[in-house]
Amino acid sequence: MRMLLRLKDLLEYVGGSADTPPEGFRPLSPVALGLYWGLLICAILAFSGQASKFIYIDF
Amino acid sequence: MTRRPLLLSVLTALAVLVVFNLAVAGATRLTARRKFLARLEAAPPETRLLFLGNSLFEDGIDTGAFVEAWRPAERAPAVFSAALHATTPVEHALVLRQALSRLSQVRYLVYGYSDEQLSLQSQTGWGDMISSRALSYAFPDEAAALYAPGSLETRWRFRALSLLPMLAERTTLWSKVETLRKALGAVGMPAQASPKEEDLEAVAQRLEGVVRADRGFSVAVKELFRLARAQGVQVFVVEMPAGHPPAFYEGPAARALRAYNRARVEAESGLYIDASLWIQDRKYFRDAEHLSPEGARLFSARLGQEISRRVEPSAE
Repeated sequence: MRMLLRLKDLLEYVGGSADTPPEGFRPLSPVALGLYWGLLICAILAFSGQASKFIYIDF
Repeated sequence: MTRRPLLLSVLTALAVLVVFNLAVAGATRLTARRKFLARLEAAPPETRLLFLGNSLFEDGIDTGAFVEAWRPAERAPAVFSAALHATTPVEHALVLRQALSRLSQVRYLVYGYSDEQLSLQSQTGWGDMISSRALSYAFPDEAAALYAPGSLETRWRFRALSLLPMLAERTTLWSKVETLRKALGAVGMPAQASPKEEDLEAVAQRLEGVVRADRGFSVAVKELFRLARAQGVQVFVVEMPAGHPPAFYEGPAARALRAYNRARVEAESGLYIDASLWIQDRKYFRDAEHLSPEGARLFSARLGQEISRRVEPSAE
């Protein structure tokens, strides 16, 4: 249960809803934060707009 | 967060996006549409007859059977199939423009269509411009003019997307997941499923709507005829078998749209061929809509006979 709470705190921190990381974690550096948001944008772009469409295999 | 660390984070995120774009550009060099454009570029210059259409035509045309059926055999034209799956008349017009710019010997264009395709104005939404339709991003200005004539917003959107592979080519990233989804979705399904009855009712309503609205052909289809006319190319419009039951093709909605389309094709000096009932046996379909290789052979042989009969009347 404690682990789940720590995970929740961690996700809240990387998601931006909490300003400080949970105990035992160092704050993310600006570069790490930039990497995290950059990868998140890539994942969103890669998977958006295709959920309800029939698409042809194209590779 | 102070201004300096924020700037550092933003720059790092931008660097990730640049790397991602480069990776996507590299990974999509061999997509089906890129290969298609390369194949089009390498089409034999002596080509006299061009096939154009979407997957119904891509799967439905066996060029060997078509040429073999041509009479007289010694006058069979050099043919090239520029049909590509998952495309709309807009991509067909773009492909035709490319083809005619380098194939000066083309005299006949055979264009396959089904249902309301000739009159439908295609959408350009985020979920629409995927798969082969991303071909439009290779010609952003021309594509925007056909999709939304006069729309600056569409033109600039297409231009911007054409510069960003991670947006223009995003379908390719998803293709491997899609392969798995299709395989799982097909488990337990019959190999040759027929369209459901309610689907046919919906199709019939759409066809009736086209005739009722009477807006004529879409901008892209008009462009197809304009391009062909400018180069003295005779257009054959072929109504393809798309897997509907014979009763549907003989029903009032399909007959009304056929008469509507035939009149407009003939007004554009084209020739209309109703091939919707040429292949009725479901064993010649590989799925609900597309012909199998054997079906394509039978269909193409008949199409070759039909077109050569019209082109070479002295051979009868």
